[in-house]
Amino acid sequence: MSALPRPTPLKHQPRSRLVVVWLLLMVAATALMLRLLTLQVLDSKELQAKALEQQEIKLNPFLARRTIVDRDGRVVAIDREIYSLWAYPSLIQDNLEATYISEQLAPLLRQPRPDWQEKLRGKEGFRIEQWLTPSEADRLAAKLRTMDPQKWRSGSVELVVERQRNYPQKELFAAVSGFVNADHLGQNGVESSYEFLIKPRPSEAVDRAKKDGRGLLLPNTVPKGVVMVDQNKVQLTLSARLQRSARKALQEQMKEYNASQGIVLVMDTRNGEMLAMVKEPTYDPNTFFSYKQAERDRLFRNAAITDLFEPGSTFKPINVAIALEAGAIQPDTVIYDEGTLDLGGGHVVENFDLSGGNLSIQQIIERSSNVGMIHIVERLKPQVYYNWLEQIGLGDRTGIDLPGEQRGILKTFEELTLSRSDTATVAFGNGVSLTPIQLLQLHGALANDGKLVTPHVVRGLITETGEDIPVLEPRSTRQIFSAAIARQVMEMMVSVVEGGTGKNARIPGYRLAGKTGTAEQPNLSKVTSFVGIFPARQPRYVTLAVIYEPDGDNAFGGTVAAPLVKSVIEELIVMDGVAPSHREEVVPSPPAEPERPPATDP
Amino acid sequence: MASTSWYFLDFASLRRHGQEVDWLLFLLPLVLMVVGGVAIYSIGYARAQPHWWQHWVTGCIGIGLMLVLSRLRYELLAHFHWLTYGLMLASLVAVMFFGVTELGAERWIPILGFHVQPSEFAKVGVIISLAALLSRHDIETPLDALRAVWILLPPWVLIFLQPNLGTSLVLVAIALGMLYWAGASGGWILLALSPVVAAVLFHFVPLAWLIWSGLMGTVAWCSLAPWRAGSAIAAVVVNLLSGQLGTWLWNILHDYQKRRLLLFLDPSQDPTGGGYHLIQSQIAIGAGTLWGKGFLKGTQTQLNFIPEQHTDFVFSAIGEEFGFVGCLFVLLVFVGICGRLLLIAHTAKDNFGSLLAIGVFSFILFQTFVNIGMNIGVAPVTGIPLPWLSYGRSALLANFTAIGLVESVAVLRHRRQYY
Repeated sequence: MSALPRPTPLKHQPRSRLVVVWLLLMVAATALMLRLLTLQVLDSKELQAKALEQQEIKLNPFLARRTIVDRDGRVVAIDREIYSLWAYPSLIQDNLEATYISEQLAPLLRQPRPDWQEKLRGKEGFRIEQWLTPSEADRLAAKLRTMDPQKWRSGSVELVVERQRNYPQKELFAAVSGFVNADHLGQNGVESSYEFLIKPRPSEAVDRAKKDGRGLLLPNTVPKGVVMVDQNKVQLTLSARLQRSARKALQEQMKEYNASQGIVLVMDTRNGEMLAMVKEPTYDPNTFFSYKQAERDRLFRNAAITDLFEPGSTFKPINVAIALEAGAIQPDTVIYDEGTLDLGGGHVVENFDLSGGNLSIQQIIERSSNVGMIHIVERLKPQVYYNWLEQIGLGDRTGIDLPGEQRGILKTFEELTLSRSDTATVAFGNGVSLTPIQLLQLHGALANDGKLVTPHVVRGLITETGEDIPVLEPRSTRQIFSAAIARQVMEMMVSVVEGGTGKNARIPGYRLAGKTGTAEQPNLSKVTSFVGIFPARQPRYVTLAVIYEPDGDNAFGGTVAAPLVKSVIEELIVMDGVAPSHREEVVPSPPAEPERPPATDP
Repeated sequence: MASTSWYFLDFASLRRHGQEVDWLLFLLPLVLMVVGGVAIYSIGYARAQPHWWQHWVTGCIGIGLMLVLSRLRYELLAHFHWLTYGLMLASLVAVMFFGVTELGAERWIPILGFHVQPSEFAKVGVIISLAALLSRHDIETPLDALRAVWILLPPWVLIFLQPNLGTSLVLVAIALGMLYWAGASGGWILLALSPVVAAVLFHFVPLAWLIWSGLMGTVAWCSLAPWRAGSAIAAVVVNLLSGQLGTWLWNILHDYQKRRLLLFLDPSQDPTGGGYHLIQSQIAIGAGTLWGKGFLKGTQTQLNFIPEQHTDFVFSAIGEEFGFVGCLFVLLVFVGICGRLLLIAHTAKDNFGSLLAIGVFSFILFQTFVNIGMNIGVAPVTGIPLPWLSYGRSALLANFTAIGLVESVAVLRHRRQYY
């Protein structure tokens, strides 16, 4: 015992201390318990939601819009990754940090906004530099990763990947392709109407992926196939080559006649595939935002499907087909043409050259005789004629796969039969309004043995290697004329080019059908047009050129539009390598005039 | 008690020992240790970390240590307290020279391939030293209390400089608890802490700072009997000044230091930086709801949303996987331990034993409150582990050592008649 120190006797402990300490323990425990109760019972829903939100990872592996290519695989529109460097000054603590950031980044920036160093000290988030290429972005990202975390807080400056839509063909396809807006959504043309095909949807399985606390993807939660991005492309029916040559010819013609607007359309008569759809003036979809607001509608609008016009004489073959179908005339019917005709009410119709006489139907078409056409149409019962106009789709849309197509205008039966002149004007193609695409479609039916096809600009999806992926429904077709009658009308139209108003479209060695049109418009001075169908036998292509408001006394469908169609068809001949059907016209030893064989035509 | 040996190993004494030991105080830490291993297993599960069995192995050593210590005649420590004090200081100084730097602080010294953390054992060392000091000298005046400060200061400075803010705060809490138990007036302790409160209040609620200063004047008037008027004025002045001083000190802090302090007040300010722990552990615990998500099913825990979760944030894993019920269980076990400690402090046969028990009580209560508090967002993140649950071998051994000492106090409390 002696080794042990004597214990200090226990001092009397006042009970109050024990109570105070005991209370302290109870208060502490109760406080913690109440807080736990709040977290785990009262607020638990909200916190559970937060937990879920953190684990979920938005897999957004740069879902690019699909590339759009032409029928030969040339790129029309393609997505590129570009980066922007953003700063969020509200996350920057002080001047010291701002200075550090600007010191670190300055050497890597090429074209930052000039006031970026000042703006770092401001409040609002802004873009330090944009249009950064992936390699520039890589350098910046490496820099941001290695900057001293003691001196700045990462997150106040970040690289944001953006997508840029590039249109390498510039103006060439603008009317058809359209463009994408700042949100990368299609705004016009195919970009808009085929959004569902162009924008690939991420698989829904993506939502199941989870991330851990460091934001790393947990491999066991990643669904199969999530990182596979298909390289399918959207293919147009258009040919960049034809498009380019048609545009060049159109621009020349428009310049020569000082025209305000021009359209060239080429359609495959058998299936409705559009091979060319050119509209001038047009715009560059890469820089669509740089055009003045007032100019935009005129430039961006695809007039081929939006602008109604009274076709004039180009509508005459349709009327002839109707009259033949209704049995009002036969191919050998002869009609007396007075040259001029008083329709009453002061409305006198004259033929272009005031000529007249006994004319066959073919001659009426060949000469584009207005009086003759009136006599043909007047042979039809008005109700029958009106039913036919309705049946071929006037007043309706063609259903082309582009946004903004306008419906043609067909007067009501009462309006059409109000007076003799109301019916008579329709006979030579005035008094009905339709879009160039619909006029093309109707002529396409004449060329296609009476079968009406739906014009379209998109073939569908193709794989990287060019194989078709069936995604689109087949387009509707409709027999509107009998094959025999369509062929009869075609023959009449061949004579238009061979010896009639469409001589300027004639291509030696080849036969094509055509029809000119020159029509005064209610609100424009005049619109000249020419429709050409090639080849005349077993037609494949129907081409329509429409030139608005050409200047000059010599501006007619036959002079302005026909040469344009001729050059387009010449390009088609070269593209397809079509052999001349009438070799004697190109080969014979003494040609009437020096002609080069078309195959070598550039 | 024929033996002069300080240790009894005969069967009779062992049997008696078995009867005298506070088995509840023995069992409750054991339960926590087991639960801690389970939680640590779950935290390391996804990445197959071996911490959980290390925790249990160390725990078993700790239990042995506790059992051996419980048979120690703790009074001896009062005799040799300068030795323990010297050892403690030496080990803390050793950290400065041979310390292993980890996470920006020098806290470990390598001994036989283990990283030993002297600051954890220093908690026990300070308890022994203060108990020895305070048990010999009654505290009658505030100046008596100052003696304790001289004892506390050297280890406190050494630990604070490591830097280890958490442990240095624990030492302060231990000292205050023991001072109060030894007879210091509650008013004095309040006054000692008052400048800090005043500085904080001045910065955030100036009006409350004024009220507080007045209040402290009143406390001084009531508790410092001989110098009522002077001390009351002094208290008011010191509090008023420390408000200004606090602002001045605040302004000489580095921006990042200010940020860290402010983060506690509003962790959402910086959800990816320092506030991350505060937010994430609350989310995990809240997502646990009433019954928890189940063992190994806590998504925040398994997906590693809380870095270093097996140490200071082990409670959040329990909260997520075992829910409110699990948390309440852990809380009640701690209350049970603290209750037993308080009871032993109250019934100890001498001042030294009583103060040892209250020192350990302060130590466990403070660490538990601050650690759970920071897990559930009512205390700042200061790096204070949760006793027996947090992974940390030094801490685990130190905790069992502390309980072992108090067990000894419990075993010997009824033997007063022998002396």
